[in-house]
Amino acid sequence: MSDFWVVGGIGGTTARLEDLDRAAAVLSSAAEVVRGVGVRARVLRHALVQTPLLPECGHERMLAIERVSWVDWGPGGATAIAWDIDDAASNLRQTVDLLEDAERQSMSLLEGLRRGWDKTVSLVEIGVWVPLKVVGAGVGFATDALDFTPLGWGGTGQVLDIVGGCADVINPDWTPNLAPLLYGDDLQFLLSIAADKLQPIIGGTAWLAERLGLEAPDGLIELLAADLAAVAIALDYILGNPRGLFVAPVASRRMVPPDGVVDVLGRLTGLSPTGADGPGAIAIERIEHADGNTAWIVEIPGTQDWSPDGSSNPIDVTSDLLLMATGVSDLTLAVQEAMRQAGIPEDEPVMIVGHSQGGIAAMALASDPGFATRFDVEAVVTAGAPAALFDPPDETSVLSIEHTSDTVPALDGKPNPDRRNWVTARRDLGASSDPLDRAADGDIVGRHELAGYLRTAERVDTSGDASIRAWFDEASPFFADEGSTSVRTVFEATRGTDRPIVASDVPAMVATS
Amino acid sequence: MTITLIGDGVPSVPNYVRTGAALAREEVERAAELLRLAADVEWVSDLAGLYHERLSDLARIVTALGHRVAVAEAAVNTLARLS
Repeated sequence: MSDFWVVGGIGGTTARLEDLDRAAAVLSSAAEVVRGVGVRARVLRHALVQTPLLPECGHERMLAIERVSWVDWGPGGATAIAWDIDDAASNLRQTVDLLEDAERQSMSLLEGLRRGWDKTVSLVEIGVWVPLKVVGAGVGFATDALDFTPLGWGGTGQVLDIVGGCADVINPDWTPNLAPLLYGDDLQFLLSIAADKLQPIIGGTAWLAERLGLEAPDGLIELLAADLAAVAIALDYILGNPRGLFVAPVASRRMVPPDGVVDVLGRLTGLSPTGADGPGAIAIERIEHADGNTAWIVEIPGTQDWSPDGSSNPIDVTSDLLLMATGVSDLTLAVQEAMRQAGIPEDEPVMIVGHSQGGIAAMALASDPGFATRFDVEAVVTAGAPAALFDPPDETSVLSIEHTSDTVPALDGKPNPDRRNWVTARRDLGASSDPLDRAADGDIVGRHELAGYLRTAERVDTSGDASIRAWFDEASPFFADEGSTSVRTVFEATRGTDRPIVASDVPAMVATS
Repeated sequence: MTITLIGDGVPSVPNYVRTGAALAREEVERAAELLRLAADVEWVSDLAGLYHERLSDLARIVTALGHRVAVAEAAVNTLARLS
């Protein structure tokens, strides 16, 4: 068996439900028409038998009666054929029903996530954010303030258990210590609690990823969603300061436009913390074709800071959690701001490329209807990202690259949907003939690293698979052709500054050769 | 009372029988067209492979039905010419 295979896209295995439904309806119409032929044949036969004719026409009459009868006779007759066509329509409808059921159950899982999120938002906003504001405002711990304190912790413990450490700190009994905790060195204590609490989430998520089939109970999904969301909010509202995001271009230079997925993903190497572009960097490449058309590639790297402390680098685990729980994070905000500063017009094609968290951000942005009103995202490339949680529009051609042993793309708990506009290239590194791949497969980090995904991207570039070739056709504006040139600008995003997100002192971008 | 005689009074195949046979042929053509339409959906898949196979079978038997109808129509027309 090959170590590389492709799912979805034009050569995929799942039909669009509406097409199936329409085909079933057309088949039913065909069955009715054929059934009508049978009825007509019987009427004609009756007429031929009953009509008085000259005796010399007897032989022709018998012949006509026989041949008209033949139209509706036996398994090849009209009525039997109508039943056959009906049978095909019925089978197709059952298939549609099964697929719709599967889709409904998937939606139910997503709805569970949303419910968990909403519940946690309301609990945390009321139970945590409000008292913090009250305390932070120096109102003290008067009765009025205590009314806002999270008296519901006990009752909602099962939902917010994951922030139990944080909740303990904010427990009414502890409340007198809250203000110094918030503003003093003891903040580190809170951070360590949160870090400890993250471990079971990560383990729990991996566990759930194996079980997030359609049979997964809603309650379990809600619990996990609530856990993720609670931690994200706790980190966001209590521990970190995601506001004050500052985005500015720091370097710009001419490039040769990418020639394939290897080139596109390869750009992300420079955006790694140790890469040429430095930490907290995202990039936007403007490709100009000889015919005057312009296309844009937005490059988003994977998680760079694994401390859940809302540090200055927004490409961190806090953004990871927020992205998975809500689809919005400082990273997506930073990308949008960079795109705005780059001056990407709403009618020019955009491709968003991301590894790991960058892939999540790419899918989140491409699936955001509001974002779609400002930018024309025609293509997305993800590598090692749990992309299946998102629902990009049909107009966006998605290419997802996943390693079967990489747990990160499995965090969405289900395979990527098989859609005409979504191609997933999967690879089993352990079955590869390349010793580098097999070595990477034995290392939990190596399976996820960009270097391995670049080797898999080579397979994508050289694949003759119909889905992949169709994806390349649709993404052609983003690749080099005769006379095309490009300018790549790196933007740095910094969190926790006092500067506004829309920076007025951003230097003008100057392309340098 | 005035009696109006139509035709020559010789018994003959009614027009509706002839037109009925022609209509049956058109209906079979319509059914074949619908089958082609059902096959022409925007998807390609393993499921579609099986389904297209089934549709091809149906198209074949509808074509055979069209042959039966054409033979019947010819017989009716021959009878109509003689009567």
